[in-house]
Amino acid sequence: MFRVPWPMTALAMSEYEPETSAELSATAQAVVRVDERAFRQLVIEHGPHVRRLVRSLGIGESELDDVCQETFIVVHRRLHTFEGRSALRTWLFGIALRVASDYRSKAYRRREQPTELLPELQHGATAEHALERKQAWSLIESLIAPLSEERRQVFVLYEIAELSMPEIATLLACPLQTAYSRLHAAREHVERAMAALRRKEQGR
Amino acid sequence: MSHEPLRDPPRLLDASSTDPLLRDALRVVRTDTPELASLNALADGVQHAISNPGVTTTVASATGGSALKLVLAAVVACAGMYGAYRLATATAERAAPRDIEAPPAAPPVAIDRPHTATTARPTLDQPTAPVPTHVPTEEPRDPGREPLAPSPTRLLPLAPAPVTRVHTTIPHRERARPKLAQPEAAAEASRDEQVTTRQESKRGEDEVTLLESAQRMLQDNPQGALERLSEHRERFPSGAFAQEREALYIDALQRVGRTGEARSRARAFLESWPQSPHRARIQRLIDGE
Repeated sequence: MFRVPWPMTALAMSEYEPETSAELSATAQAVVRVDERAFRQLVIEHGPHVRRLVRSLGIGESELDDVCQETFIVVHRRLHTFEGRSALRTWLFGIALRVASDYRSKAYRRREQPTELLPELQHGATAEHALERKQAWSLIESLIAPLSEERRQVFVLYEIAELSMPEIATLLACPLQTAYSRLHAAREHVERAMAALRRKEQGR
Repeated sequence: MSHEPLRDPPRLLDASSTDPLLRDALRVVRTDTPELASLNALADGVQHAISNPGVTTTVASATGGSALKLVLAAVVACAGMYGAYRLATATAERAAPRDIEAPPAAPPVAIDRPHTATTARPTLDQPTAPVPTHVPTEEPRDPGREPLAPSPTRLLPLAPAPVTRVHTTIPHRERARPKLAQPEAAAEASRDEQVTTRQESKRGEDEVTLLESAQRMLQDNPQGALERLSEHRERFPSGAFAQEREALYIDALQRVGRTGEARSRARAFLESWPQSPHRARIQRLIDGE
């Protein structure tokens, strides 16, 4: 995994006033540039995971970029608070969860259109793969959409993000037992919904 | 916590009892990875928002959930400022040609707006630029350099190149903002804002001002614009405005009559940035404008 002197990142990128940045020595500027590259690397490395998580938390295609971006902006601001007590990815997920949750509630307030209607721009050979992904996402979404946010979070973190249950409990700041029962309830619902879907299919 | 019997159950993807359709879907979803271009776009967007000084202090001390909201508000504000900023640079200028059919319609008002102030105060903005890469090309000189013989040597390094970045996020925000028709006072304020923003971020300033100067030259002196853009490319090869630069470059090529080159670059552009907000316009170029 990629390592950066995080305190330096925080110092270089959060605390330098822009005016003083103009007066930085060449060395310090170089450090800032290295830090920018390092953070960029972090975004590129963890972006896919964050994106998947955010999407499975119900953020539509058209807002995905915005939410991911906001997540990483917050990540950047708060890097200095990362103490390494959890894996970096788990920590990132914690931020993503909150940003996504905030975004969703705002979206509801704005009464946003469902974004799944917007077709993904794809071309050529990737089209088939894109369709497969789209169908997979929409199946998952249809199954977990009715879940409460709490259950949905546990389900997604376990079944899609592949965290362990203790990690999830820590992340959601709930007792392990609670996390288990949320998972249990969520899975029960998903399996029932899936079976109903099958019945409907056969009934046709 | 001593819940010995509690062990993580097999995940649905691995459990044999799971419906195969669901299992497939889970497998696909778990491995759904965006293209590198999207990730680069994400990184670009984040970097831009970060380099805006407005947010930094607010967020650095933020903690907890309510602070998160503060952060988001700041982010939005930041993106807004940035939107206005870019509006003044690439997009607003492009928006007009995109909306209006006529290709050479580069509205001088929109282009000049951010910079009238700067142009009026020669060299004020960049007197002590400490960045070693700073090349002696100041804004204020642009207006004087209109008629120029072509200098093709400068154009060479601008090959369409392995550009893999896509700007999806920032333009999205721009769209959310009222684009043109700012009231005078507001325009004035935002201009001031832009000026201070620029003064605060030297590197950003250089990158943006250079691009702006190319934009201003586009209509009357496309050859000069090409040179500016080449310079921009040399100085900021991986800068965040690669997309705008390339769009401008293609436009300028078209204007100096290098249509073949313009078209091939336009095609490369669409491949590199399939979701670009400039897409429609570039596509029109290819379609034989």
